Order: sequence, then C-alpha cells, then structure tokens
Amino acid sequence: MATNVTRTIVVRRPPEEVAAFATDPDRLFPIMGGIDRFERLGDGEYDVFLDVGTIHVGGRVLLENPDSRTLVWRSVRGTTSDFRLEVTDHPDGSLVTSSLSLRLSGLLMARLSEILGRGIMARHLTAGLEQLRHHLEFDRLA
Amino acid sequence: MGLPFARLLAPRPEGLEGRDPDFIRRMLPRLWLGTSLYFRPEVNGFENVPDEPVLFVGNHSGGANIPDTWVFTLAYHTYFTVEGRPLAGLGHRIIAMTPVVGDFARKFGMVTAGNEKADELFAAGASVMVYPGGDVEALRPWRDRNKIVFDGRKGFLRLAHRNDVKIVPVVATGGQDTFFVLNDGRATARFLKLDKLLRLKTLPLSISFPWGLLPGDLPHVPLPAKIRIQVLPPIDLRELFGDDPDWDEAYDYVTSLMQVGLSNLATRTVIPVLG
Repeated sequence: MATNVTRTIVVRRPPEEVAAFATDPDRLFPIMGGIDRFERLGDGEYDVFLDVGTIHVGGRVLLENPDSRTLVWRSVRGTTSDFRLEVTDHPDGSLVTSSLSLRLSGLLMARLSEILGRGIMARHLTAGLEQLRHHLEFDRLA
Repeated sequence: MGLPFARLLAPRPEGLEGRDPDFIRRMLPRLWLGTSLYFRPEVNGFENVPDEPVLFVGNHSGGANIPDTWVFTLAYHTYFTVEGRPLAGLGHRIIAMTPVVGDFARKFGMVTAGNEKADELFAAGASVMVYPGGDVEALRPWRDRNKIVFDGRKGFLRLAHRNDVKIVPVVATGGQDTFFVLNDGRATARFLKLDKLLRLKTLPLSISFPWGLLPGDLPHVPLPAKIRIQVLPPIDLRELFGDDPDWDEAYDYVTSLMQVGLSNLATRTVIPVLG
C-alpha cells in the first residue's frame, strides 16, 4: 500500500537562486518548521523527523541531487518514504514542485493510516513550501 | 419581570466606555471552562506581545460564530488579566446591531470598525484587534481553511502606521472545521447587491447544525473542533518600510508571514475537527 501527495508553489525569484537554496538540505532543512529534528550523518545520509502532533515520524534517508534543480530522498531506515523536490521555470519566477510518498505494511489499518497520513503529508508539504517561498522572497527584510 | 430583559436590550455605548471589566471578570471562568471542554484550545505566543498598545491582526474562521475570536479574547484576558491593557476588537456593524449578542460583545470591548474610533482607542492606550478578511475570510470555503484570505484589504496597515503601533499577527486553525463552507459565493453576493446593501462580499453555501444546507450562514451549533492559536512576533512597519511605505509590498510581507505561521500551525493537526 502506498499514498502520494504533491504540492506546488510559485516563488518570485529566479530559478537558479531558488534551486541553489532548495536543493541544498543543509540550507533547506533549518528553515522548515515542520521538520522537528534532522542530523547530517555523512555520505548523503540524514536523519529527518517530522513533528506530527504529539509524535515524530521519519527516519534515515539517503539524499541525492540528480541534477542542479532536483533534490530526492529515499528512506533507508524508519518510515518508508520517498521525497522529490524540483524547481522549474515559471513566468513569475520559479515553480517548486514537492512530492512525498508513504508506504505502510498491512491491509486495512495500513490503508486507514495512509488516508489519515495524506492530510498530514499535504499540510507538511504546504507549510514547507510556504516557508521556502517566504524565506526566498522576504529574507532581505528579516 | 420585564426589567432584566429591557436592560439586556438597552444598547451599551461603544469604545472603552462600553467595556465592562466587572462583567468580563465574572464571565471569564465559566466561558473559559466551557470553551476548554468544547474546543480544547491551545493558545501560545503571548510572550511575543510588547508592553505597549499594538494592533493584533488575525485570521478568523467559523462563519457567524467566529469561535477562534472568542477563544483569543478569553485567552488575552486570562494572560494579561482583566485589569491589564484593554483589548478592543473592531467588528462588523451587523454584530454590533444584533440584540443581546452585540451588547455582550461591547461589554468585552468590541467596537464597530472605523478609522477614527480605532485612532481614539490607541490614543487611550488600548490594544486593538482586527480581522481584515471580514466576512470573505470567515465564510471562505473549507478547502481554503488554512489560507490567509484578506481579500487585498490594506486598511489595517495604514491604521498601524498612522498610529505608530506595531502589528502583532495572530493565526488560528480549527475555526473553519466547526461548519463546512462549500464555495466562496462572491458571484451570488454581487448578484444580490449584498456588498452595497450590507457590506457583505460573499454568500456561500454552508452546511451547519441545525440548519443543514444554507445560503450564507446563521449562528449555528459549532462542531467541537480543536482550536489552535499562535501569536507571532511583532512587526514594526516604520522600521521595515519607512515613513512612506509601499503598501503593496507591506501587505505582501505581512500576509506572507502570516501564511507561513498559519501553515506551520496547521501541521499540528492530525485529523481535522478532532485536532
């Protein structure tokens, strides 16, 4: 069983500038309020945990940059997930597309958890993209 | 027998003279108890509020009931005490004109929205609360429940700048889970000329108890949704944008900051309504 959520946002900054920031986990993760804890482990591996209400959900992920505008991770420990962030051109600046998929073992309860998880994932993706947009558009005023 | 009823209907004066600290003090424990049991509110961030008159700028939800506004008002008075800096909320004249409810709101400090009245409140040392989105925001569709919808209204920026007070943003989730709005209803409001007659910009379809499907909204029994409120750090418009601000830029900045705060607060929700 798997569920996938995709969210997009327009950032009014040049794609090169947005991609340089958004595809660098050491710059991206610290501004993400929904990521409660993360740790760089080396060789592209990070421990990443989301704050979901009263619990933390996540685990160890392997991060890669397939090209200069894309960041992906696949989980190697903990909650089984895949993540992809991509920066493309947009008439107003840049379009950032973020996708997160989640796979849970089991049948009925796993399916139910995935349905609930979709909403949680969507809210986290939206919050992360809003934080990225605000940081890049208004950092000069901070 | 008729006297208490007549007293209830007698309109109280507006402004700080209409605010009734004794009434607030009497009502606070019982209202907070009921609210705590029903909406399980979490209100955080009051430590961000400086000790000076400020303009609280919030997003509000829940149609005619606006439960998050009441939760904020109760939380403010418990945190800063009834004897502390008075809080005056600027509200729609429909609320002020409503018998009993309008009077109740005025005792808690509600004032019919207006520039001169707001200036007088700041001059008297009070803090002021505004919800720039008004009915457009309170009746926004459920799918937009975690969006800041100020509808391009920038008057709150000029109000803060003119009175040289800081803006303290307040974001809230849960209010729009207390009933369900299906569409934004702007076209209907324009067709019925409600914007000119009643200053109402929207007439959406909503589903609430006990009314069921309804054009617009009436006071209803709210679903017991969990309400979360976060008070954000203050914004000094003069420091950021100078004496002659670009209002569009200031608007974009404040709404962007509030959107980040609201989206972040929304990540605390595990299941809508339940919390």
